[in-house]
Amino acid sequence: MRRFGTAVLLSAVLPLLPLFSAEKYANPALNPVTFHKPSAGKPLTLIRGGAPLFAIVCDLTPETGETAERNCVTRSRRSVTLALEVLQHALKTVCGKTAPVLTPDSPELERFAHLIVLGDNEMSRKLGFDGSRLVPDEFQVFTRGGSVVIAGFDGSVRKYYDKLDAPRLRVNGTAYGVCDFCERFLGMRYYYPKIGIYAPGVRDLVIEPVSYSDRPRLKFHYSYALNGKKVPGKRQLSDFSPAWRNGTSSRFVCSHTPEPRALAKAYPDKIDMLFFRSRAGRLFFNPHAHIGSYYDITNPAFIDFFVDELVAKFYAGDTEVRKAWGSSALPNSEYVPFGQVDTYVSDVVNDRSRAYLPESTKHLRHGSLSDLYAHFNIALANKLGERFPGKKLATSAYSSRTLPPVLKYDWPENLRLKLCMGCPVMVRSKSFRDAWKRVASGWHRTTGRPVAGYCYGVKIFAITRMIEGRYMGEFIKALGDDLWDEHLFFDAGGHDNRFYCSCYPAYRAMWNSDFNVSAAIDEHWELLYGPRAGKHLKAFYDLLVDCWEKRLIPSIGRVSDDYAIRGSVTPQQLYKAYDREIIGKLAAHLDAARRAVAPGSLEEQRLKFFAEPWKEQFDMARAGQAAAVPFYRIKRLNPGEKIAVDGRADEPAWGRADVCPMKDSCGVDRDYPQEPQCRMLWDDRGVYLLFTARGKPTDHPGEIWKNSDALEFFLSPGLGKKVFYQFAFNPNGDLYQGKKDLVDDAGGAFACPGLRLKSRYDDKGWQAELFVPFRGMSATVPRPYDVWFGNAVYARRRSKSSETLSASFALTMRNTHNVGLWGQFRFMGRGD
Amino acid sequence: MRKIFPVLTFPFFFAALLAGAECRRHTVPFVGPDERGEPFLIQNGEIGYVITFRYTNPTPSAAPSVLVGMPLPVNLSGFSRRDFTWLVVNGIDSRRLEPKKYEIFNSGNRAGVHVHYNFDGVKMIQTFQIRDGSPLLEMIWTRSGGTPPEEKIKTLRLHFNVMPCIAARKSDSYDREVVTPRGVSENPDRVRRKRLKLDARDVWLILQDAKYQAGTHPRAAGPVLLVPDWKGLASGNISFGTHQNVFADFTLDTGAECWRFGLLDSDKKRSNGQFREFVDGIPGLPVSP
Repeated sequence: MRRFGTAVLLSAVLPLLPLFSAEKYANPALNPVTFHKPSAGKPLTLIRGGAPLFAIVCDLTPETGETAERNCVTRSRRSVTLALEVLQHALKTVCGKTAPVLTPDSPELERFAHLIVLGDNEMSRKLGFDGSRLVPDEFQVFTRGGSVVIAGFDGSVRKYYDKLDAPRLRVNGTAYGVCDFCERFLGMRYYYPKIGIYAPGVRDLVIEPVSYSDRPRLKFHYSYALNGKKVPGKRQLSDFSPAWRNGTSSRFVCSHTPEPRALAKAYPDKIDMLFFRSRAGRLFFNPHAHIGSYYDITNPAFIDFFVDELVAKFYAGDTEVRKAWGSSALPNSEYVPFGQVDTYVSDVVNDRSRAYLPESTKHLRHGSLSDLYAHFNIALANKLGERFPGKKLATSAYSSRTLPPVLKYDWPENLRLKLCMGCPVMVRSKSFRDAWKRVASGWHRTTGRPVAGYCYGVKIFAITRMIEGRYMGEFIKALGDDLWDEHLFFDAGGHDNRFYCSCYPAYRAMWNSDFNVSAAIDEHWELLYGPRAGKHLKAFYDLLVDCWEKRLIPSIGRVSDDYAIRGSVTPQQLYKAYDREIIGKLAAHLDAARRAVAPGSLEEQRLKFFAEPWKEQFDMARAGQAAAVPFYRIKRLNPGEKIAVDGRADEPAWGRADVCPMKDSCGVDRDYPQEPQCRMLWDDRGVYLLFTARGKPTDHPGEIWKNSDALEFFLSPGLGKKVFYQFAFNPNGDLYQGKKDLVDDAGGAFACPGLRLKSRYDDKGWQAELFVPFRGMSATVPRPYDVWFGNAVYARRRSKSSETLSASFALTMRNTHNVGLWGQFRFMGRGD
Repeated sequence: MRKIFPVLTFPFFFAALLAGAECRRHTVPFVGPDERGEPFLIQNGEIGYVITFRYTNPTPSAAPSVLVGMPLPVNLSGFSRRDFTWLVVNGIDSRRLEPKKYEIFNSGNRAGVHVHYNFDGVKMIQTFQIRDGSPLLEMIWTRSGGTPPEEKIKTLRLHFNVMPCIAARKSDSYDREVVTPRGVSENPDRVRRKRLKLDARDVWLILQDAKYQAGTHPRAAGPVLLVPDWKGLASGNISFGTHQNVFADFTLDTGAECWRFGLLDSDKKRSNGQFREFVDGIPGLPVSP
């Protein structure tokens, strides 16, 4: 009886043994994959004594020569080629040798006991691979007949691409499969390029029969372009994106497009029709920069022009119209993108728009124009659908139209929306999560379908940059089925490999939101830094996370839906949680790690790279904790004194004005050889500002926010912080004027009547005089000794690629709009 | 009948005369962390007052200010240790100004400090001084000779903030009273603050409390005395009731040469009756006309 029972048990269990042994390849630090019952067979000895005992088989024909060119297979889309490179690099690194590469029809195949077959080809199909059942980017890894097959849905093989596809579109299932294989079986880890790759030594490798597959949950699993710049070490992989599973199979694309200056240049006679004119008569077209223009979406003629001219001629191959779109998102074989210029305009009232501006949403910062844009988007989609059946309109719910509309509409089938909302790092706050869910599900209910996503990082603090990616999986889950699996973009302000602890889990979570971040991060410390330093760095990172989750998040409390859409953490909140004691402990952990690595070692190199951003962050924190509100006395012009505002600053009155001190906006101890200085004077008419800086400034006419040095001057009348005015100019004298209502959180471009600016520069220096009239700001003339809030910020920009250094009156922590940290200006009296 | 005040002219003896009047910078600033303070010790052999000019820092919601406090002789009660007096000239509050300079003087039988202000062209001097043998601290405002003639004083108001007889517990409500030569003004209706109009008959005011006569807090003392010189005053009011603070404000005569007040605070715990006796014994204290 006992023997019978044992036999029954064995007969039930034995067939499962291969599955159990395959499950041994499940690794919580890697992507969770789906294991299948493997084919029966013996274990495969792939490496013995440090020598690979197999050949690699692949067919690169679809990815080379005329075939590749015809099928738009660019370098980043050569899935099998990339897969081969990754595998060879891994072999070379772990055992010092590469494997021979053969084609599926090679007569040399018989010499090898084992093969690793890459991609969809004759041999992989013979071994049982069926690519027709896979979805884009999906891959399989399985053993059969003494071989290992690693193959996926590759766009290069399936002729997925066309010439209209954005470069980001790349479907590289096989490459992802090989990366997974190298991680799972060879022990490779791809944290970031060059020195961020970990490779163990492997002398022997035996693989049990195994079969598994994986595919991304989001079709768009990408972010900013990856690059190995600023990472020390030698380039090891020509393209790192497969290692991070970065790519997209979705053609959904949406940005601020068409680009207004390119469009205006191509259609100068249509500027009046294309751009919005306010009730006051101001035309929102800025020839010098992107911001400042605003398309007239209240005008039906705009819709006709967009579809019948821009879209139609684009698809017809008109090269001039192609230029008119600019260089941002372009129409492709599935989608036509439209995105309003990134300018905030709150007042778009006219006879055409009035009906779509409900009173109930008028004061919502993120919803005042939702109905107007719903009306516009639907009309645009309908027109597009009539003219181009099959094409879909891709547009965004952003800024003043982030919230769902309140009126009822019939949403056409060909309209797809991207919801721009949320900072994943805040996901542990229930208030934030609930707000996001309300907004996303509101859109789902309103339109009948889920929305694509666009979420934000908190770029200005190293603390948030280091940990925010770990919350991506939770963020995706928080949105649930209201998030369309087609697209989620993570706008973390660009990609910085020093914060790989964020990027790595974020990208993995975009592939699979169940990715075990803690296991992956915990595993890596010892791998990259050795056991001793790794222990201290783990303590460093764990303290960052702990403080965030247990101190900062609970301190935030309830926030409004409006705030949760784009809000995150203020410097005050951050530096209260990460107080001196915490900062001290973090610094101590880093110091301990430094002492634990051998000089000149690879671990030391990695540690230096890791530690690079932290001195500045600690300095910022300490400065933020100690920061007093800066205070400047604006002296009064005496009767009879005048300032000519000619840029010469030769009036004696300037000699009486105190210098307004400017230092690094983060409180970091930094020298500014330009010695930027501001001085101010006032009279009953307004404020006079004199700015000087030594040395030749960087100046690109028309550019204020990049590529040129600039001075920004902010004024907020009174102490109530109800509104502020912003004046920014470059050495050429190009000027931006803005106004923001801080109560409604609404604002945008603004014109201050009576304002005067004169800027002069040469090789020796830059000098500018600015006069801001009180009446132009609709502000009451201040009484003597009244105090306003304000700030002055000097931005030093050497070149397009260099970082901006900013010296500021107030420590605003790199966010010039951080009103809570602004300084005070007191208007002094006569005789002071 | 004794002639009026000014308190500055009456004989300078009261109890034993020990040492002469002296003013010097005090070593303890009595300000918060990160604040600047300008403290002055003004004393004679009998009593010492510390007047501080406390420079508060700007905050994300408030502008900085300079507050005049009297932390000694009694730290907790009496004339407010933080902010007990301020002058408003043509609508400009002296607390928004930074004094231009402090001048200590020790001359003969009086010592004190002159504090120079500029009220948008109107230059004023606030003087705190003490005389030999007198328990009173004198506060005098004068117009500085440096004021251009075209700068007119259109309005002048002076304010006091007083907290006599502080209780031990913060939550207690008070029973403030004001005693002048006219009599005792009480608060029978127990209102938070009632307003009493003052006139030239109120040549001195005792600010006291019916319930907490000597103050029950360990660092509190009894009533305080305020002696306005009505030669320079147009009108005055005092607000008192169940609230801890008593506010006195005076409209000053813009045509006067100077504006004078006598202040008396003492660290000796005295009941209301004892304090009244003490005041009655001050030589030269004016009587009501």
